[in-house]
This record gives sequence, structure tokens and C-alpha cells, in this order.
Amino acid sequence: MEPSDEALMAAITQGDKGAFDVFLTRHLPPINAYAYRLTGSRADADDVSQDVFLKVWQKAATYRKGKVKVTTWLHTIAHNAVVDLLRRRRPQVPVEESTLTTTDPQEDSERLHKLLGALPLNQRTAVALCLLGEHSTREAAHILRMTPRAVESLISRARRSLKEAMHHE
Amino acid sequence: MNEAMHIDSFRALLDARGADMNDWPHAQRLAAQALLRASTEAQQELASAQALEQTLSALRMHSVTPGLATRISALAEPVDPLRPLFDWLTEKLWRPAAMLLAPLMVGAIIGATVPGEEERYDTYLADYPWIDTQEFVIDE
Repeated sequence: MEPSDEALMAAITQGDKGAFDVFLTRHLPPINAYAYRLTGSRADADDVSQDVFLKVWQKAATYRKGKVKVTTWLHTIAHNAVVDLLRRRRPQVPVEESTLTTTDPQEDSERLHKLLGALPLNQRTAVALCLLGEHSTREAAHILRMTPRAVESLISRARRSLKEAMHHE
Repeated sequence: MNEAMHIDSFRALLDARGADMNDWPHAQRLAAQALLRASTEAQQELASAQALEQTLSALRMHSVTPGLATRISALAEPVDPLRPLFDWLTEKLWRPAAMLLAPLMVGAIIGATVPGEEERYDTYLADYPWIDTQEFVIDE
């Protein structure tokens, strides 16, 4: 039977490297995807993922069992790392409409990420957590430090903005 | 009988709940289905919402950079066995320690900035330059 996230966290707190590797294999894909959806850059997503998991290794004792799910705690660390990274950056250049019309699947994926990247950070986060990830609005509210109702409002606005952006392509 | 749904309400529901009407509350779903039968605008709104859902499905695909897990694992060095205790102490003790140190710091600052009795006397005499302090010196 697979060990639970809580059991792995307890083992990591004791410095168990094997438990860390299992935890890393299990949670790296969603955290890397989340960071990529927020930053729009593979290199940045990899840096954020590295920061997040090294923090887990060094600060596993700060996780409070039962307070929030391990995945929520992990996404909160990732979210803070992304916010720090984006704060250090200059404002992004708006996406030009001419770059948003292709038929190549690879370019199509980039185009979709550009559409997502054009959303404000909090809307992008709500989309990444609730529509692309598997988080409830309640979990997203904890990560974004807002009410579930505010998260629902962000999702509504994001859907509207994305539809309008797709319509204008 | 269900109340007729306005196109704006339909649009708001699509934005809030997505294009899969199976996830909508029963009464709203019935009203929306009635609206869809009568309104081409509603049909276009639904088509647009379904296109967005397809776009989002494509965005769910993600592959991790090869070798990233190995790189991170290699960076996680073995830790000092006393580290959990240190983490616990620093986490639990910083508040009481700050509460103890704060009055000490305030006392030290006050002590360093308020002048002593002799300094106060000199400052007082500096305001009365015509007083010759030598007059008060008693010759032995």
C-alpha cells in the first residue's frame, strides 16, 4: 500500500531521504504544472519546483497535520514562490494578437498559455487551481488567502476574459 | 413550472459553472434548456463556453522537464539529526523570546539616551553663561 502524504511528511521531518524521493515523484508533476501555468516559462517553473521541494525537505516540521491537506500546503508554498519570482520581474509585455493564430499543436499549446498569461495573476491562479488542477474553491481560497466566494468570482471573470480573448483571435 | 431564464443569467451561469450543464442545479438546468431551444444567442454562448472547456482540457496536459526530479533529489542533502529539534525550538520560542527582549531593549535605549545627573547639571549651567562656576569652588 502506498504511504499517505501525512506519513511521508512525518518521515521527511526525521530526515528520511527515501520518503522525500517518493514524495517528490508523487507531487513534482502537479507543482511543476502549476508553476508553469502561472509563470508561462519552463525554466521558471523548474526553479520554483526546486525551491518548493527543497523547502519541504528543510522545513517539513512546519507542516501542521490536519490543518490543511498536504497538497494545499504545497501549493501555498509554490504560490508564494511564484509571487516572489514575478515581483522581481519587470511587467510582462502584452501578448500581440498576431501571435495568437496558428494550427500547429505545439504552437497551439503556447498560444493557450499566452491566453492564460494575459489574465491577472489572481484569476490565473484560480484557473490553474480549480479548472486545470483538482482543487476545490475552498482549497484555492486558502492558498489565495481569500473567501471561497471571491475565488468563484475570479473563476467567472477568468472564463469571461478567456472567451472574449478566444473570440477576438 | 420553471421561470424563464434571461440570456444574461444564462451567460453568468456559464461563466460560474462551466459548459457542462450536468453540474448545474436542476431548476437552472431545466430553465437553461428551455432557453436554448428558443434562443440562437444562447446556443452561441453555449458553443463558445464549450470551446473554452476544450481549450482548458488541452492546457491540463503537462510533462515535467526530464531529469528535474533527479536534480532536486541530489540537492536535498542529509540533515543534522538535531534539525527537527532546532526547527521546533525556533518556531515555538521566538514569540516568548521577543516578548522578553522587547522591554530589555526599551530599557537599554532609554538608558543610553536620557542624560545622567552630572550631564543635566552641565546643560543647565550652559543656559546661564554669566554664572561663574569657579566662584563656587572652595579653595583648600
